[in-house]
This record gives sequence, structure tokens and C-alpha cells, in this order.
Amino acid sequence: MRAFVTGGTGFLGRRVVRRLIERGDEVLALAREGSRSEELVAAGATVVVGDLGDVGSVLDKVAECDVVYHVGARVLSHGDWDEFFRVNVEATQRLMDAAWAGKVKRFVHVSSLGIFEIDRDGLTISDTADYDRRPTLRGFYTRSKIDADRLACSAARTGKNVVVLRPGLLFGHDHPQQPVFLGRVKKFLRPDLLLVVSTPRYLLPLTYIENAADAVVLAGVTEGIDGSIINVIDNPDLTQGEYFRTLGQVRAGSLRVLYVPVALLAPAVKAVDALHRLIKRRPWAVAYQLLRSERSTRYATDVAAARLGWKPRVGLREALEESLRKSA
Amino acid sequence: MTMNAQNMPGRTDGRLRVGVVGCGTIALAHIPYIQKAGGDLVALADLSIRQSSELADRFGVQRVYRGAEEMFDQERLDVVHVLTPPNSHAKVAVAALDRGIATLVEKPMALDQNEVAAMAAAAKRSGAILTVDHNRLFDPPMLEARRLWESGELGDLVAIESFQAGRASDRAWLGDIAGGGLGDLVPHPLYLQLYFLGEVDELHATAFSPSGGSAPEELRVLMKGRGKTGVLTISMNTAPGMNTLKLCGTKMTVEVNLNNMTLVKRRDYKVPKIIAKPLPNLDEAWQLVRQTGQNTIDFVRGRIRYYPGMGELITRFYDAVRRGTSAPVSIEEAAAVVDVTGRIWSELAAASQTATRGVVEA
Repeated sequence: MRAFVTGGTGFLGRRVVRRLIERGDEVLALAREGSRSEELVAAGATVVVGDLGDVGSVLDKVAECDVVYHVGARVLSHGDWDEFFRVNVEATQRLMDAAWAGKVKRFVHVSSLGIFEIDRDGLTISDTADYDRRPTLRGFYTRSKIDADRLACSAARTGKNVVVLRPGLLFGHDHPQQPVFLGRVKKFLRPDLLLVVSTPRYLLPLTYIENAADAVVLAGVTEGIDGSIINVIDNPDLTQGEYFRTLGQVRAGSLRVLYVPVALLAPAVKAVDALHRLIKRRPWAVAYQLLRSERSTRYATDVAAARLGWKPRVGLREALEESLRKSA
Repeated sequence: MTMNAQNMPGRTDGRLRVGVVGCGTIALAHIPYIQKAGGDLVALADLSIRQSSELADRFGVQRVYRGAEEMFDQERLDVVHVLTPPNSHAKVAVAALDRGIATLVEKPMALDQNEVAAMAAAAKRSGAILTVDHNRLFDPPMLEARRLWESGELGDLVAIESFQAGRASDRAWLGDIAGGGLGDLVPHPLYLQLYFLGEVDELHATAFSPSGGSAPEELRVLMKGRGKTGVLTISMNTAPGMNTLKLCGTKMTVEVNLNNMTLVKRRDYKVPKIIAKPLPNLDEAWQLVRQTGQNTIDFVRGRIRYYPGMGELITRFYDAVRRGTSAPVSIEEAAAVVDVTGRIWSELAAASQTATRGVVEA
């Protein structure tokens, strides 16, 4: 099979490329000019030089493939909305259009788990859960991922051969920021003492990068799953407390975690928010995001098991050991 | 074509599932009223994914489509608001009505009578309600003006004057409608006029551009109805912009200012001659002071928003959908506006041809 992979040099994309080549597929990998694509070439992929911000030049190549793995996205925390929209939303639609105008049999859209409405604690999020109803209070990355997911799901509903995959928080030794998850809002008070603004009972939707890559490939090659929307999390019941205990056990040197519940900060955050609403006539995005982050949510993963036959190949302890060892 | 049981007129339960086709500027005015009127906005459709995505982000709408028909087929809508450029109103509305979806179309309803007939036929086929956003008829002072007329307090209505000054916003589709920018301004004052005037037996129109350009900027239309006359003025050059309607009855004259949402009544005062001159002025001044104060309080307390008539029309429309009663603006009323608009432009075209012939012959 001939596959087209966007974000071919990225954290997840390069693993997808490698897996596909191991399967014997012919792989065209989209990489920006000047990006480190030698690894892809060495692995046997054909590098298509291009940019998601201007996909026009690669659409004819997309149309000639059997499967498109749309893994790439602008994941930076800075930049203007136009850029995020062009790269993460418009490019997704243009790639899908090119795929359906051509001979593509499956379009895999890699989305995100950060897109959902979480208005209270203890929700279970299925593949049909609502999107965040205030995307404009989220960062441009999440907002653009909501927009792209909405378009991909619209295509899925109208009978297009698309599969939407929503991996959790990815980790692995070559993660651009940190090899293992260390809390959303955190600070090391000492090398062995980590302050985390959250609670130990908070459910952590983690996905080890190698497990995520397995799921992406399965989404492209498994028959009869067109239109599926699939959450991909290693263990939906993993609590933050359990995670940090495991991390402490595999990490060189001990690790103690000091939890500061968001609830403790909530009165101050709400006061600033009220002031912000009064002066700027709109809510304070930081307050919205912080209060949202304290609500623990369980993400249903039964669809991944049922439709893809996927389960995490690498367990948490092994994944953490591998990530820390290779990043050392 | 399918028609869902839940889309049949007569349903009285729960909230309505609403879709919007066309995610441009006017959608920003419609959407807050959808929720208020008991609708849940479940999906948007627009050819531009930028427009639909940004509107969905702003209002937390869960689903977007590029095609209206895709949305109709997927979403089991009770109601759709058609807010696309006028040249696609008929196509989108017919597709919705044929699926049994109650349809609210922005003004102008359609470009010509053929489109109106197609929309009316689709509504008749499915039994779904069709209405048009003649929102200013439902602004609070207009409702009062209508009440004064309908209750007989005005006496017999003999003369109507509607005046609209301002410029249409610059939109790509203005070239598709007769009269361009000026044409876009015609429906509001015309439907206000026709609501009171009724059938138009005679019509005279004249238009020109003070700058000598080919597109008309100033329009005056004189109409004769049954026992009434009407004058409609549209001016793109008058400053400041103004929207007024004057109703002259045999017992009272009423002037509605739709910019400031006021209604001033002028009556005969049975008073000594010496105060007969100042009293009406004082009375009018007091009416303006009182209404301005009340409007300010209502606005600050959030009781009225921009486009208040649109909110009232949407509420009445949704009630009609739930109860299976008649639409707030009937197809006949909307069709009359399209018809008279066509007659205005025909009259102007004929006058222009005569003038050209005159120049050639001279």
C-alpha cells in the first residue's frame, strides 16, 4: 500500500513512518524544508518537501495514495490565529478533499483529547461527547484542533472514509518538552520534590508514544471502521497519584510530590476572573483553563479495543523506564 | 424526500433543533435569539470553513457542514435559518422545506417571483412553515404602531411615509441583486410600507445618483393602495443615517424612529388657541424623554438587545412551529415585497430607456 504521512519528522509521525515501512508499505512523508528528514530517508521513506501552511503543492501526491495519515499539526504555544487555522484546520480540509477526489481508501485524522467539554468533575467522555463550548477561551492550538476535529467528524458522519483518532497526553524519550509527564502546572521545589497543582485522584489520560503509533497504523489498515471516532489512552483509570508513585519507583533518585489542589486557588482565580470580566468585558482565559483542569474525567477506550483491536503494547512502568533511559 | 414525524407542524414538546445556513455577519444577530426563543443551535453550514468554524467557536456549536443539504440530511432539524446571500435563498429554502424543516429566510426573500413560487410550492408540499425576516415589523415601537392602527385609534389610515437613509455594508453579493447597494436597502422600508398600504394599484419610481454614477443612490417611490398612498424614500447620501415610518390617520399621526426605537403620537388637542401651538411640541418632547429613559433602562438591564424585532419574530416563529399556527410573516406578505421590488426596478428601467430614447431622438 502507498501511504502519505503528514508531520513525518514529528514526535508521532516519524514512528508512524517507521512502522509503515516495517509493514512493507511505500511511504511518502511530508516534511518541511530544512527539517531533519535524513532519518526518514534512511528508513526508506520518500520525503515530500512541503508545509501544512501551504498544502496546495502536495495534494496531487496525496490523491495517489491508498491511505493518508494526517499526523502533523502546529503544536507551538505561540503564533497568531491565522497561522493556526491555516495549518491545523484548513490543511486538514484540503487534504481530506484531495483524498476523496483521488483514490484514497482511508483518511486517518489524528486529533486530540483536549477538545472536550468538561463542565463538571467525574464525567465519562465517549467518542460522541461534546466539544468544549468555549473554544475561544482555550489556546489557539486546542481551538484549532477542535475546529479540525469537527470537520473530520462531519466528514465521518456524511459517509466519508475517515477515521478520527484522539490520543491522550503523549510521552516518550524524544518528546519536544520532556520525556515523561510531570504535571500540567508544576514546579520542582528541589530535585526530589515536585509541586503539582492538582490532586492525586485526578485521572491522567496518558498515551505512550509507541502505543499511539500502533493505534495510528491500525486506524489506517483495519478494514470496516470508516467513520469511527476513537479515543486512544493507555489506561483510562490511571490516577495521578499512581502515576507519580510508578515514576518515583523507576526514576533515579526518589521523587516526592506535593499536591496543591486547584480548589485552594479557586477563590483567588475567581476574583481575578470577576475583575477581568468587569474591566475587559470578557472572561479570563487562564481562570477557565485552570478550573477546567481540576475536573477529573474518564475517557472511554472501549472503541479502540473493539474497532482497532488495540491495547497498549507497552505498560506504564516499561514506558517510563524506556523514556527515561533513552533520554538520559 | 423525507419528512420526520418530529418535524411535522403541531409539535408542542420541548426545545427545537435549529440549524443555520450562512455564517456571515447577520448570523451574529440571529444566534443569541435562537437560544432565547427555545431553540438549540445544533449545527451550522457554510461553504467557507473559516466562517463556520469561527462562528461555531464563538457560540460553542458542535457540528459544522459545508453543504446545507448534508446538514439537513444528518441533523433532523426542526428549524433552519437561511442567512446566505440572496441569490441562494430559494435553493436552500426549497431543500429545507422539502425535508419538512420550518424555514426562516433573511430578507430579501428571493430575487424574483419564480423563486418565490418555488419556495411557496415547497412549503405547501411539505406543510412546513416558511417565514421571512421582516424583523423591523416586530421592533417594540412598530408593534405599538400596528396596535394603534389595528385598534382604530389612528382612525382611517390615509398616508404612509417610510424613509431609510444610509449605506449598505460592502458585501460581495450586492452585485447579484437589482439596484446593488441601494437594492439591499429596499426591503426594510418596503415591507413596513406594504404592511399598512396593502395592495399597490399604482406605482411611480424615480432614482438617480448625485455623483453621476451609473448605480442609483437616491430613490423615491410613490404608491397608491386602496384608499391610501405611500411614499418610500431611500437615500444613500443623507446624513445622518435614519430609518423612520410615518403613519397619517384621520385621528392621529404617528412617527416611528427605528434608529432610536421611539414612537411619537401627534393628536388634536381640544385646548385654547394660545397653547395649541406649543402643547404638541411639549407633548412630543415629553414622549421622547420618557421613551429614551425607558429604553436606556431596558438596555442596561439587558431587556432589549440589538435587533429587538428579530428576537420577537424568531420567538413568534418558533411558537408557530411548535403549535402549528401561522407564520409571523406570511408567504404572501413576503411575496408582495419581492413583487413590488420588481415593479420598482422595471419602472426605473422603463424610465431610463425612455430618457435614453429621448436623448437619441433629440
